[in-house]
Parts: sequence; structure tokens; C-alpha cells
Amino acid sequence: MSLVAGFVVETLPGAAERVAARLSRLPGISVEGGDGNRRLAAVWTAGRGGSMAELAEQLLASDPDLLGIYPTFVGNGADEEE
Amino acid sequence: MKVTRRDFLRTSAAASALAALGSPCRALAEATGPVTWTKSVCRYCGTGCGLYVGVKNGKVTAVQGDGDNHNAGFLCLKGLLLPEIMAAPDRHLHPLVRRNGKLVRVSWEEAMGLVASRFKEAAEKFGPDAVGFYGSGQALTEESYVANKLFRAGLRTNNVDGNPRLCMASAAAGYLSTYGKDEPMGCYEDIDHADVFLIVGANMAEAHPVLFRRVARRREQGKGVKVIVLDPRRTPTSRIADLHLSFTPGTDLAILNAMAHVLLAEGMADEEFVRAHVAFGEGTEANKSLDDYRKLLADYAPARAAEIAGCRAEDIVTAARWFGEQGRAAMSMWTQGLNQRTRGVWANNLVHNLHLLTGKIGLPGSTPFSLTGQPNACGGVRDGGALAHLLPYGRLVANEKHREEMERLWGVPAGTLAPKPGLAAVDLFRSLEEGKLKCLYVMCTNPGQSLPNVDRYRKAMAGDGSFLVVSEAFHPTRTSELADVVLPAALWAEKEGVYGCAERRYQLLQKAVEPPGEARPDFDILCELAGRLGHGKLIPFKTPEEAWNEILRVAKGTPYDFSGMTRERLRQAHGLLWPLPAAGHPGTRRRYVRGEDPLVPAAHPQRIQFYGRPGARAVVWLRPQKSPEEVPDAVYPLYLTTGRVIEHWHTGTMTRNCRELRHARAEATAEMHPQDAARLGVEGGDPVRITSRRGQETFRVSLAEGGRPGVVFVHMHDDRRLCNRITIDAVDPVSRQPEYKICAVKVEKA
Amino acid sequence: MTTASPLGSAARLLVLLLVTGVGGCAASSPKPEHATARERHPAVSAPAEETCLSCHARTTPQVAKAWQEGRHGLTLVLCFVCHGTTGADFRLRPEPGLCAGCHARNVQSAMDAGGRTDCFACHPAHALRPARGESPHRKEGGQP
Repeated sequence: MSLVAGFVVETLPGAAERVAARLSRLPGISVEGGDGNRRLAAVWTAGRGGSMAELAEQLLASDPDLLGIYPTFVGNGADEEE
Repeated sequence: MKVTRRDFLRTSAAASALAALGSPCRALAEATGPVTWTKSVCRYCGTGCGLYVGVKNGKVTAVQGDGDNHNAGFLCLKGLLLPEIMAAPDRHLHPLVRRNGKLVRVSWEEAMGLVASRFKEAAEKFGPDAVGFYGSGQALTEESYVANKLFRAGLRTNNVDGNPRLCMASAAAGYLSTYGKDEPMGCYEDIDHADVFLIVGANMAEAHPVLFRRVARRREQGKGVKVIVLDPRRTPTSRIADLHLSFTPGTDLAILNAMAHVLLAEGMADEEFVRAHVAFGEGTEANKSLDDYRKLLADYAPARAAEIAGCRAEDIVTAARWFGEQGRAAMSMWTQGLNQRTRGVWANNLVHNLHLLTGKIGLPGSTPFSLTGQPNACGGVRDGGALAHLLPYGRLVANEKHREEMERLWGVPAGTLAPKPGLAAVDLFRSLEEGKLKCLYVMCTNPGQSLPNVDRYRKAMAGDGSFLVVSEAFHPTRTSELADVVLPAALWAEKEGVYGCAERRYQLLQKAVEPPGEARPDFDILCELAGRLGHGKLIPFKTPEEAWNEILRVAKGTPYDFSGMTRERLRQAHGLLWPLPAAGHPGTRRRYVRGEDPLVPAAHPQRIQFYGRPGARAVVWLRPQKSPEEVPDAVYPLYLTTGRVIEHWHTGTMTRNCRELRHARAEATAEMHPQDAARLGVEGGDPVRITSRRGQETFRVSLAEGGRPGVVFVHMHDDRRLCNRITIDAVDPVSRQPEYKICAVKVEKA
Repeated sequence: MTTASPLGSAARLLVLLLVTGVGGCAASSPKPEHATARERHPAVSAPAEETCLSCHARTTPQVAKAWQEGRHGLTLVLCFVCHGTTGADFRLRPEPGLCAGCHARNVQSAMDAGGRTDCFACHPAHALRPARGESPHRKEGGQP
């Protein structure tokens, strides 16, 4: 069962652009918009399985510009064949 | 159109996140929106790594290795940083013409009008050989093809040559003289099966990193895999060497002969194979015998060779025994250490001899594999015949039948093609110097930095009597600064065409972005030039694909035959290996092998057929040790050798534009052995002047523990400190390739 | 244009709270400690013969050794590939998406397996091996 999730990303002031660039290089993640300063809206379409909690934890641990990740929508069971 | 559940969920997810941001919410300039990935090939070396070019908002933002291509997704650091070269500040955007000593911006109309009229004038007044074309192993196949056709059949000169003359000519002549046909018979996959690697005159770790990785992987995974490295210097390649053999530059002919001596003496020769498939020759005649060969090799006992080469005899014996051990597959790989020599063709022959003597050829893991330097030296220039003595796809200028064939294929009257080969690189620039050559079109290469003894030819290029046209993506370069016309060329992902890499793999680079400014693909520029010169019928192509379709017809029926590589097939595939003579044919991993090579009849009685040579016999050439043109003496007591580092490529016009590489070994240093430095009284960082009979240059010292005492190494990538002011322009008499690797210098504190 | 009828299967659709401000939510977390400015590389003027490695062999010998003896050291994936230059683009921690340049399939499979974006959680920095934990990477055909 794979996952589609929307989330808000909170960054250090002014870091939104560079965080957006980094996030969008990850497979399955697309950045949908932002306030140009410290917040982004993004969507993660996982290929298989996927845990939003795990993603949030790993991103926060690896990117010093990230302050918070707030899921707004999580949908399960969206396999392509349906 | 049905909206899938997944799409719906994505939309909902995006909407919810955007709503949560509150307002205002704007799209971020760079990051939003999807990246489109376009299948292509790396711009750099002859490994030809497949990759995808990532484009966002019309700009190249990323690359990703192609997991379905031979490189299994891997790239080297240069390939990974390719996006940075595209929007470089020194991208050449507008045509320039020299007026009153200065280059001024003009329109395309004016620039092309000038080029056409000057070339036309010169050819009419002084004859066809007053004009010439100097092309590149980095140009797309279709571009080299158009230039070749225009100059030979249109302008009727064979002065069509290119920079592969400086790097691959000896390898090409080596294959030709030994097997009757150019190009390696094996493939990269052979690496996965080899038990012994003989890496000679090649720093694979820095010059072919992705192939080096594959060798290292094989060594790790195979049982008892051995790597032998022959190189005066210990380079990063030697980290995986089970045996590193250092020797005096230029004495490798003796070592290779000595290895053959051991193979024969210790019964490691495959006599049956030799009887069935091998002839022996000397000079240019294949009229010798195995006994004659034994007589020659009697002079190359390991002890004698070791004396000549300044190495240990037991190492030569070990190398020979590892190579020759029965039942073990042996793969040789080499590049400029053997090619850039006045005896480069001989050196190549001697490597082939080892494989022919032992029968270790045409089997998985057993093959003599020449590593190519440029991304399209094989496909566009060697195979395409864009060298002064060649016609497309294995045909020769000097062969009347071949000329007739090409005249028919090109639809030109009999006798159109001149019967005499044109001038090879160094000779071409000497002709410019003499004033015989009036107009030269230089495309996608940088001879003002890369020619040996470069100051001599810079003078010729800058001279009043020469009209130099340079098509370049970057300006200024050490060549464009000397030009009369500088045309802005599209770069890599901005155009479409085919590259052919070292393993006979042809692959399509698809266009991903638009060129900046007024830059245009060389293909377009050449087609326009053809029209202006009155040869629109000869060069009627509207797209590179149209040229490719003609190329397929020209190669049909030749040993290259890749008729099955339609444009559509190339679009789908991740590279294809020729021969591939029909639709649906899978391509050829191993040439000359029955069952794999479509040119070998299925009913052929033996597993191998060297169909390139009379009697299907490859030739073991008897070649003695011969010294380089210039060796150290009392006045110039050290060897200078030149080469590459991983951070940069060729003359650095692209790599120096990468942030991470600009200060990473961009400066050429004098790499000296600590002993030599101590004797001179210099330390790392001290400036020294290196002088040869031809010129001098100043470098800072860097100490190299792996260097060989008596040998100084300088890399070729620096546009400010030109090693080529010092190098020698002596060439191999057959291949006409210069001896960049060896000359004599003195080094002094500066 | 027809659409699937997703809202009909409400049970399968899980909608979390719509966050309208900086709020807390169980699955999210603000950064705990050092949410400070990114680390900068000390200013260096690199002489021609000095490389990242030659300096770091003196200043951070363990890291240099781990890298040199590992796979990236052998295949010359040099420092700046992951860390940028010593200038403004310096990255103390390489960004996860970068690994995809060469290791796209492995990055993809790790993401799929559970949103694992931190390659270094299992592949110790610089040495890269031995890998820890259960591998989320699918084995596929082709070259190893």
C-alpha cells in the first residue's frame, strides 16, 4: 500500500528556496509552492509503502535548515493500477 | 481522460498543504514544478556514461546516471557537475569578426557571409587544398559527417582532420595494421569476466573513472583476479595493482617484447591458435614466420629488457606468467601512454601480440581493449572517416574503389574525390604556417592550447596570412582568441545527435534545452555554410535525423554496418553496439567471433574469423625497442611527461566553469619526485621553470611520492600554464600522432 | 471526464487535521536543539598543491582515512562532490537527494521503504561500509 501525503515545511528564515531545491531532488517529492521565506508546501508520492513519520524524522535529522514538518493530508492505497 | 485515484490524491495533498500555508503563497522560482528527464550521454570522456538530463524551467538543473546503460547509473565527479557548464559566464553568445585587430560582434548573416566568401575565394585562387577543416572527437556524428562530406565532395579537399589525431590515431593504426579493421573487438562487459588486467600507459582511476570502478569491482568479486599496471608513475590507478611496474619512459616496447619472450619460452603460447589465425610481419609486409619472431624475441630476455627499462626482470616474468596462465582470461587496456608516442603504432601492435600469441582474444574477459579519450572520437571521426586519409566507414582516400563507392553514394561525378590523402593535424597547422593553407575551420576543439610545441602553431594561427574560423561554445579560449571569426556554438544538451564511445556503442543524445543567446548547433552552422558555398544539394538535411538516415546508408554493407540503428531504435535503447546490420538485431558484443558477429558466417569452421585481413589472419608484427624522439642528456637531464587529473577534462574550458572544480587542481603544477626536488633545493609550492628545446613555462612544485625519479609530470588542463609550450611535435611516422608523453627538459628554480 | 469516486471510500482515506498555523501535530516535530545557522567551512586560501584531502589528512585524519579507504576514496568521489566548496555552498551534511546522481535506484528504494532519506543512518559517513540494519534496497538485474 503506497502513500500520498501533503505537508508544510517550516524552515529557518530565508532558507525556503534552498530547502525547496534540496527537497525536490528527492524521488517522489514535489514542491508545490511557498511563501518565499520560511514555508513550503510539498507532496510526497511514495513508490511503495512509506511512512510520513519516518520521512519527517529523517529530513529533520539531515537538513539543518528545517525547523518542522507538518503533514496536512495523508492518503493510503493509491496504487497506479486502480 | 481518466483521472486516477493517485492523481486525485496528489491534487488533494497539494491543495491541503498550500491552503495550510495561508496566503500569500507564490510558486518558488526554481524548485516548483516537475523536473523533466531527457535521456542522453555525458559530455566528457570516451567511457560514454549514459545519463538523464534534468530540466526545470528551461534550465539544466541536474543529471542522473542511467541505471539501464553500461555504467549502471554511475557517473564520475565531472559528469555529475555537468549542469554547471551550461550557464557559464563565458558562454559564447554572438558571432564575432576580427576588425582592426579586435573581435567585434556581428550578425550571423555577416559572419557566415564572410566565412563563405573567404573559403570560396581561397579555393578558387589557390586550389582546394588552400582550405581545411579541423574537427573534433567531441562533435556529434552528424556534425562530423556533414563537415566531411562538404569539404571532400564539395570543396574537394582531403584536408579534413581532427583532434583524435592527437589521441587515438596510433590505436586506430594499431588495430588496422594488426586486424585489418579499426576499433576494439571486445566490450565493457569483458571487464566482468577478466581474470587478469594489464593496464598499460593509462591512469584509469582519473581518466576513465567509471570503467576503473568496474575493474575494481571485478577484482573484488572475482577469484584471484590480478591487476598489472605498467606506468612510470604510480597513480591512483595503482591502488588496485597487484603488480605495479615502473620503467623508464619509452622503454615499454622492450617490456612488452620481453613478456612475449616469456610466453613463448614457458609454453604459454597457444600454438594451435597461432597456426590457425596468425601471420607474422615486419615493416608493412606480413611475410615473416614464427621462427623469425622467436629470433627477434631472443634479444628481449627479461634480464636484458629490465636493463633497458630500468625495472626488475622478475616483475616482467611475473606479469607474463599472470597474463599467460592457461585458462585465465586476460584483458589489456591502454590509452595515451602508448598512443602519444613516435612509436605509438608499434606499442599498440605489441599489446595485440600478447593476445594473439596466447589466443586470449574473442572470449569473455580476453581482449585487447583500447580506451578512447573523447566521447565521439570513435563514432564521429574514426568510424565516420573524418581523418585526412580516410573516407567514411572503413574506406580509404587512397583506394580508388572506395572513392568510386563514395562518389556514387554521395551522388557526385566520378573523380570528384581527390586521390591524395590530406594533411593530418600537426601537418595541417604546419601548412598554415607555410602559408599554403589559407583558411582553416576549427570546430569544437582548442588547438591553441592542445597542440604540441604550441607556441609555434599559435603564431601560425595568429598570422596575417591565415583566416581562422573557430566554432566554440566558450569564449575566450586559447584558440578563439586568435581567430578571425568566432561562431557561437550550442553545447551538449542544447542539441541532438549521436555519440559513439570506446566499446562500439552508439547512443543518442537528445536535446533537452534551448541554446542561449544566438548560439546554434554546429550541424545547423555547417548546413548553412554548405548552402552558401553552393553545395545545398550535397547537404540538403533539415535535421540531424535526416543526416543520420544517410549515414545508415553509407555504412550499410561495410564492416561497421549499423543499419538496424534507426533513430527510433536509438531513442528507445540505452546504447547499441555495432555491427547491427538489421532491424531487431541485438548488436555485437564481440567481433570476429562466430555466433556473435553477424559478419562471421554461421558455418565458419573456427570460432574466430579475422575477416579484416587476407587469409583471415591477424598479424603479429615484429617491432624492436626504439627510443623516443628526444631523451634526456646533459643539458636537459629530466623527462617531461604530460597527462590528466580527474578534476578536469581536456583544456578545461568546461570543467573550470564548475564551482567545485575551479580551484581543484585547476592550476598545472610540476609534479616531481621528492628526490629530484631535494636535489634542486625546492619544496612543494616553490616556483620552477621547466625548459625544453622548444620553450619554457613556470609552474609551482607539487611533490609526488608516486612519481618516478627523473620524470616530471604536468597536466594539460591549465589555460594559463601551458605544458604544450614545452612538449615536442615529433609524430609517429604512420599515425602522425605526436609524442606528448616524452621529451627532455631541465628544471630550475624560478 | 469521469473521475474515480474517492470520497465514497472514506474508510481508506485518512485526512489529518488541516494545519492553519504553526501548530503541533503528532507526526511532526520542530527541530529540537541546534536549529542554528548552517556550519561554515573555515576560510582557507588553498595553495595550488593542496587539496581537500591533503589538508584534512592533517586536520581530520580519521575522516580522511575513512574516506580514502572506502569506496568513494578508491573511485575518487572527492570531498566537494558531497560537501560543496569551502565557500558559501559548503554543506557539512550532504543532502540526501545528491546521492541519487549515481545511486538513484537505491535512493528510490530507501524512500519507498519508509521515507528513509538519510543514507548515512545506515551507511556510516565516509567509510560507507559496513552498512547497518536491514537493507531496504531492492535487488535488480544488471551490473552490481
